[in-house]
Amino acid sequence: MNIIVINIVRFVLLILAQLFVINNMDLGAGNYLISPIIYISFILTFPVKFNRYAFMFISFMLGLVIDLFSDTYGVHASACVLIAYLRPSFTKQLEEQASSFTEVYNLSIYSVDRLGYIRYASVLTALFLFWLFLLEEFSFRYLHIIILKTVISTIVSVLFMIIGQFLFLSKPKN
Amino acid sequence: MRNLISFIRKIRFLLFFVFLQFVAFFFISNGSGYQKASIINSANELSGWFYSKEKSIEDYFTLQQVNNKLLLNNLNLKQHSIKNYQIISDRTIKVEDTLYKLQYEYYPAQIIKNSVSSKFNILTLNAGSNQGVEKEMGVLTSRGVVGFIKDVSANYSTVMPVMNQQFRLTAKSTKENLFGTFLWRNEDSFNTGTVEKVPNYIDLKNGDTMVTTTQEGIFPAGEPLGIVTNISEENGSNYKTVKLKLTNDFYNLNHVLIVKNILKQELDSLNLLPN
Repeated sequence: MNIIVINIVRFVLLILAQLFVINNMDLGAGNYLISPIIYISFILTFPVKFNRYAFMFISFMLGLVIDLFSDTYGVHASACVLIAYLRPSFTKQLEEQASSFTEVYNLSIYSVDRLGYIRYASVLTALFLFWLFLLEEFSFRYLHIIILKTVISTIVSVLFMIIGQFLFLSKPKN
Repeated sequence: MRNLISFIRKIRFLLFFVFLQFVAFFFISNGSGYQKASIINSANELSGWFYSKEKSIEDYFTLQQVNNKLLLNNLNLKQHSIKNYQIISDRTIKVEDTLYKLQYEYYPAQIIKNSVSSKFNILTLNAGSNQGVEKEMGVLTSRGVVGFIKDVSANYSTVMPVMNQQFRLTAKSTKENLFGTFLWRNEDSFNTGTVEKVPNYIDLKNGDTMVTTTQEGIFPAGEPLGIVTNISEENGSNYKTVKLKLTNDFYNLNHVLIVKNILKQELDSLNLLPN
């Protein structure tokens, strides 16, 4: 299937999954500490060799759609743009590690070694969540809580995203 | 000049990043604030459509609870019916009463998006300007205050609920006519509110009910906000802080009433007058 069609479908499905499945999870008292974010899987798996300006703009729109639905004004858009800007420096490291780095396929857990991918996903997710929580709070007064929230939410989010990739992505045939 | 151009070419990716961040921050600063209109809000046709579809499925699972609530409400209304009262004297006659003039009108609505986990929770209703909803109308249930209308589109509107850090309202106890400021803090446990600046000499006990006042011109007087659970007095201060248990359960909100104060414009025009 065309890489563009795949990514449009992924864009829509990830937004719907985030808004109507993940955001409806009732974690009881954990609601304050755990807010799993899976839709940034779109940014993490986006084709590496794509035009980076277009990629950053698409990420901005992705965040803006989430903002539009969840009344967060522009917080998600800002965080999405941040990790879209930082992503190239992390994918470079992955490129050095991996021998068969296909530029057409999306960057999933199958295309590079697993541990490296999990590290890459964790760092970007943590940066995303930290920026998100900081902007929501808009002060350093509760920095310790923000850091705690970031750590816990990163673990849960990355877990969800990796499980999602194992479930919904097929292994690219070499 | 050439150096400058080549420098800009070198950092244009960074400039694009800064530009997009600038746009995002513009949206953020535009939306957050007590009574600001936000450009990016969930009272639009796209998210409204999705949320109302989701709600129409979810409705089937809460039918029983909603029916029970309606039954209790009907029972309450029935109890107040004139038929329950015996006529004491048949000499009295009915006259057209001109002592009362309608001040509050109610519109029905349903919450299609609920949120409780954030500090700045916003709800979405399936009623908008086509149904007569305007900004700064109150939102109630039979159990008490929910919030007030923040943004309105043609068919949807968003609500600033009690459980939002930016929410403020004057509150008083049912017994005395003195005010405090109601607000909600994130440190508070779930469904708990705070009333600040309650004068020390007011006699308050745990179990008292705090209700709305007509100060803001949003709510009718006497709509319940919460029940007093804890009172703390600071040394040397003339005020005490009161913790409330909110009368509404924000997890299970579904049907709400939107209150319109017909005299609000008149009230606001008076308040806007220079001193």
